[in-house]
Amino acid sequence: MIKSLISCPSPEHAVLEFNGLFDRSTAHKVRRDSLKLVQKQGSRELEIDLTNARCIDTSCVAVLVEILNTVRKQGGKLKLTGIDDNTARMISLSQLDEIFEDVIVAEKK
Amino acid sequence: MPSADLIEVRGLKSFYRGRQVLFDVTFGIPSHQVTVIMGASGCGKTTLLRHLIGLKCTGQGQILVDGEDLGSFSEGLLKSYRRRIGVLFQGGALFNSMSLRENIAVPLKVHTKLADETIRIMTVMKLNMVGLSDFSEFMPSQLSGGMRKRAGLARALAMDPEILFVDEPSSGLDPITAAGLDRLLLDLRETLGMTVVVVTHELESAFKIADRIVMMDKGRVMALGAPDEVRRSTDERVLQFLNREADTHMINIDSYYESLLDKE
Ligand SMILES: Nc1ncnc2c1ncn2[C@@H]1O[C@H](COP(=O)(O)OP(=O)(O)O)[C@@H](O)[C@H]1O
Ligand SMILES: [Mg+2]
Repeated sequence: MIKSLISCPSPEHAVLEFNGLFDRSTAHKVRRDSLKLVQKQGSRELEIDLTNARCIDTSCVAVLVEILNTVRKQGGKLKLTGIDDNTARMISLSQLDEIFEDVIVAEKK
Repeated sequence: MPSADLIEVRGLKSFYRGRQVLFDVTFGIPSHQVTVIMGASGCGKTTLLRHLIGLKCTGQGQILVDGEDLGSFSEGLLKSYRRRIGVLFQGGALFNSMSLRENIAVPLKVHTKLADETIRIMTVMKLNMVGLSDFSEFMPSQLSGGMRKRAGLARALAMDPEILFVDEPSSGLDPITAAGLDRLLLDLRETLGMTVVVVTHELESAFKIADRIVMMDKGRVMALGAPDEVRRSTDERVLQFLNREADTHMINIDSYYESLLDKE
């Protein structure tokens, strides 16, 4: 089970927060909710906050890659906060560090 | 009593049409570690692996997974156990009519409801892990044996297994590719905390990657423990096995070939 929550701290900045287990049984929901908001945000900034999500398998990294690709295609900006160690390790084992370099923000502001 | 081992093999005996090939095999497979089952060709390693993954059942004794007897699993339980494991068989076994990417996507398409794009990215990630991301659209027939083996490993990893079983991963590979594969198995343990079970007859690789070694001889466990413990064994058969292998490693392949060429 995973729940999402949208907030808009400013007109230029939307935050999508996930809460729960992010694995291959819930990846489709994370993907759908995120891509919907990505479209709405256009070239504005989107922050995905995974502080309260637990990423179990590589489906979660794959979904993040697709979100990032889509955001970049429409000239927007993506920020990922609250990425846990396990996810960071999966990213680096699949040699995706470079792609996520400017995207992952260590501390939630 | 709860046990630290994820899988426990207790007094396993195995038969092929009445002929016994495993004799009272007993050992444990610890979580998040690399267990290497080693021994000479024909000693029963692949048979043991088939028992561990629930493929071969004609035997006596027990295999406990999380303390539960695999032999008494219902079809449903066996199915969910199989979803927790990834297996790379000795032959590799890819579908020849599919590209590498399609091959690796098969388990994800069958067992999950993930979006096509998610599956596509996951398969590329797995191909990248085994160093084959540039070959995702290749057909198996266009690849070398070593590449097919690595592709098989990528497929075994497709579902992010909790336990990975690999049968003779580096046989037939050049030393550099083999070393890369060893490194990857260690990375999977370190990075993802995977429980890895490797079957091999290659001594050097076994001692390099193992947290625990199960050394077999003619269907029996002849040594069991951490690499250091096995190396310090005073058992004559163990020493013989260790030394025989060491002898074959002493051959310098280059000078051997040179001496062959000199005859021309
Ligand atoms: N399908 C089979 N039918 C009959 N005998 C088999 C079969 N598979 C293996 N064996 C025999 O069982 C013994 C152990 O084989 P195996 O488990 O493949 O050893 P290893 O993997 O260590 O080389 C060998 O004597 C082999 O001939
Ligand atoms: Mg074998």
